[in-house]
Amino acid sequence: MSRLSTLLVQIFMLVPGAATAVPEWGIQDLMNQLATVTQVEANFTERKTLAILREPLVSSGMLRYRSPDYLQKQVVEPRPETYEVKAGHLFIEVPGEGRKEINLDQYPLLRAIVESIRATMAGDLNTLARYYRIEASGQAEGWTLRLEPRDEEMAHYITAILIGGRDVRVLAIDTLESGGDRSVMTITPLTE
Amino acid sequence: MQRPSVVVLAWLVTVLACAWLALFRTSVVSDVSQFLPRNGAGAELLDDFYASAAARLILIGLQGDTVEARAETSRRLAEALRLTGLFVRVANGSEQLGADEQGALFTHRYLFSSQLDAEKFTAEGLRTALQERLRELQSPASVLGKRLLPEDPTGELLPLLRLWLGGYRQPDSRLGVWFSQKGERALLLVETRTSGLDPQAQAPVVQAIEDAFTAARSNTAVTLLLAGPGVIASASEKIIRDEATWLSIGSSVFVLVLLIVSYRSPLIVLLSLLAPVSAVLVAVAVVRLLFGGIHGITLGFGCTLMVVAVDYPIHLLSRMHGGETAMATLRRIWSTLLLCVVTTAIGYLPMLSGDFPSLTQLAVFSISGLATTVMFTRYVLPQLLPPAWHPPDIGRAWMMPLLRRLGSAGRIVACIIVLLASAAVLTFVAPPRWENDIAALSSIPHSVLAHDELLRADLKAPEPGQMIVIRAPDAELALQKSEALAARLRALVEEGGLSGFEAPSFYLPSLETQRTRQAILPSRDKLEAELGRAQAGLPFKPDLFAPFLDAVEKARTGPLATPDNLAQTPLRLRLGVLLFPRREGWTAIVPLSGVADPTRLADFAASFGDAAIRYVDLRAETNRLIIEFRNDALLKLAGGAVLLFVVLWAGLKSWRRTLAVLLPVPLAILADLAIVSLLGQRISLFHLVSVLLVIGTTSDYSLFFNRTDLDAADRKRNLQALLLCWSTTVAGFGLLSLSSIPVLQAIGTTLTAGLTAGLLLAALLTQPDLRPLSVRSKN
Repeated sequence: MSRLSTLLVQIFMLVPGAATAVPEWGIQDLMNQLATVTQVEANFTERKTLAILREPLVSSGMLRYRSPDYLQKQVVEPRPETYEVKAGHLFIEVPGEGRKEINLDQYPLLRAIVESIRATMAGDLNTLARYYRIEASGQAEGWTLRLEPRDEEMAHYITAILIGGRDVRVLAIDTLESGGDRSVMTITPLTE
Repeated sequence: MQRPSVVVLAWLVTVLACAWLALFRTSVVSDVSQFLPRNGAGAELLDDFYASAAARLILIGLQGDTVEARAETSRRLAEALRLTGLFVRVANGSEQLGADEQGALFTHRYLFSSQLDAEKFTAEGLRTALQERLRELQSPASVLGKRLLPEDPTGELLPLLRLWLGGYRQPDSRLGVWFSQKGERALLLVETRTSGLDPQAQAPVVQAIEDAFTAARSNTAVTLLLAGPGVIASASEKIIRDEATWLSIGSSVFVLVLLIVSYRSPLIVLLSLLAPVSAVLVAVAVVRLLFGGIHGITLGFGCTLMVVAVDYPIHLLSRMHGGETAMATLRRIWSTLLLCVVTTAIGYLPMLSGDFPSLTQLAVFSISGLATTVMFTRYVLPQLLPPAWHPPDIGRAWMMPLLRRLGSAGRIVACIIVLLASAAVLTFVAPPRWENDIAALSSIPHSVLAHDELLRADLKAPEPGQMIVIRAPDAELALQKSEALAARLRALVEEGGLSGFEAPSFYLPSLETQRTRQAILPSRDKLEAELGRAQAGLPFKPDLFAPFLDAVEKARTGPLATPDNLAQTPLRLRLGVLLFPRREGWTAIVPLSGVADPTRLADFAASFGDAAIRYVDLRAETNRLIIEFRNDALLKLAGGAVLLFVVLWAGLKSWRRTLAVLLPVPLAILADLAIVSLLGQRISLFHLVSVLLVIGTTSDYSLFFNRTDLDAADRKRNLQALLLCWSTTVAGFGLLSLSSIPVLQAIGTTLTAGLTAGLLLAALLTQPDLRPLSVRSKN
């Protein structure tokens, strides 16, 4: 019995071990894994380096995501405001100014920007691929997606969006604009 | 005997000349506005409407297949339509203002901005604006919006773009294009360059849309739905033409069969058909000579009515017998025939002096057609008939006894029965309802109207014909009035008097307002100083806003925007539909939507105490004109009745006979109205026009039944003649009553019911007393 149990333990231990031994990690795996995440809450810091400003514009706050299509970016510092995406509509709330609603269908460029984050977090490869040419590099412990806009008009504004992460966690979003401006968002998840 | 050759030749030449004039030298006017009443203020208001944008909108719906297929078809269709150059505007929700349009707006942003005040250009105001811009930079959308920041830090462009792009109410959007609320239809809105009420101009436009759609749908199952005044105009014309063609072919076959059965001679049938044919040709030529052209509705309606023209040759042909020449028969019936013509012509008189140009045309058409067919019967037909020809006897044995019984029935009782039955129906069962709606007049098939309503609701497009019209000697005054009006209309919107409006001054402020805004703008030095203070502590680069300083200085000292200099830009097209020059001065249109209570709006417009500002409820306006016309026509009809009595009395020289001949006419009309109401139809102008024909033809029947000089054989031939007249007419119009087009249905039902009642009543009431004198004297 004890030998059998040892064998069973060994088999169960070995199976995952055997899988990691084959380094066939790819974008589909990443997306499948991301798709299992139902909820994310994280702190973020965003640093925008713009040609029109003398110094970078830094803001920070909270990111919240619920699978599959709820996304919230709550800026706390320095000018509080909240962006919320729900079922294809963008809600912008500025304290003291009320809430504005934008149908993303009417703003394809804005939608593409929103999808770069939402579709990535939802593991929605189809949607992501509709807006961007995707290039994945790295492995599960440290991956980067390079998204290049398919739409010509959008490419006029944005060269690429680089999304970095580890396992199922998105840790950085780096937006490279065609004019040389750049925005780097660093994300620190609060919960697993 | 006259020499046949001269008269026949003269007739032939006349008809050929008329045919040439009618076929090659007559333009058919199809503009609906030409059909409508043209008296006084009404006509002016209608002109305003036809010039307005609402009349040039075409609403397009795409349904079927998937949402994606519909959206994609919408995109491709919009693109193809923009390339045709046929449209002022093609909108499907995906469009953006062109670079040059945006450029023009950007140039005028300070003078056009409704949010401009002195506060905005103080250090305080500027700092608020800059902080707002910083917030925008922080947003995810900043990548799209920051390019204009150095030139427009106060953010004037965006609200302007929103205004010019969207108008004031936008439909819902899916996949980047307009959709109906539930998503079942993708929507487009196009504005044609040509007037929407001219079917001839609209037909190629509609065709272009259909072609572009066929290409755009490619292999999807998406289907096309079109609506709007232009589509209605061209579709109703096409549908009427198609349906009228089939119906007239059908009724011609019926008439032909009846004539063949009755006369059993191809030559005679041909000769009797020459009457309506020459009647139509001469009538068209006369209308052409008097009016310079003919309206499509007049032509269609007139040709239909000319079926009755075959009655006159029948009156002659069916009464011939081997024993006398055609001329002799004609002499025998001539006095009656002449009375028939005069009474029928009197029936058309009410239309002649109306304010509906096409009804005047129709009266001229009918009277000249009538005159032609009588002339033909009197002078030409007898000479073309083979000698000694007479119609075969196709009467049935039961006919004469029946007629005798009808003729000797209790007349008073019959009268009272018809009177009471009709009155009871009209009072209790189906009270007649007047059709005052202009839509019923424009002969639009129900399905086309339903599409129009559906798409208009989907697109939230303003109801055509709800607007305030401003007239002014120049554009500046028109704009100033538009501004004053808009300010007070806003309050009315808040009170719930209407749901929204648009005004030309939204797009182009008056010079006065632009000057006020120029005065608000600070000088460059002052602005620079204020801006310097505003920027303190903010991260913007120091000389970033030099383009802003230049732009404000340029707006402050530069030229003002006028309709003339906007004409150089694409913005002109958007403004041009709301503000345009007229023969005298300028007109500004303020379209209204969701008007809750028209009288409130009328009071509102009147409260300005300015005759140049007027509320137009086009539908109510035209409907009022129709009611006026109808009351006028009814009054004239009463006058016509008196005239009819005088003419008949002069012709018959007997009070009793005049009364006997006239009596069936009002009774037939009453019975007719009762039947039409029972069928659920509303009484429209076309019913009334048809009633005129019922008056004329019923009095024909009466006059012939009433002849006292008939022997038994004559009486039999008389009955056969009248039965053939009646059956050809009913064959002709009976089919029309099955039509889907309200106008044709109205004509068909009224004439079929009215003439059947007329024939029966004439047989009942007008036959001379046939009982032998001995029997009569006993009573």
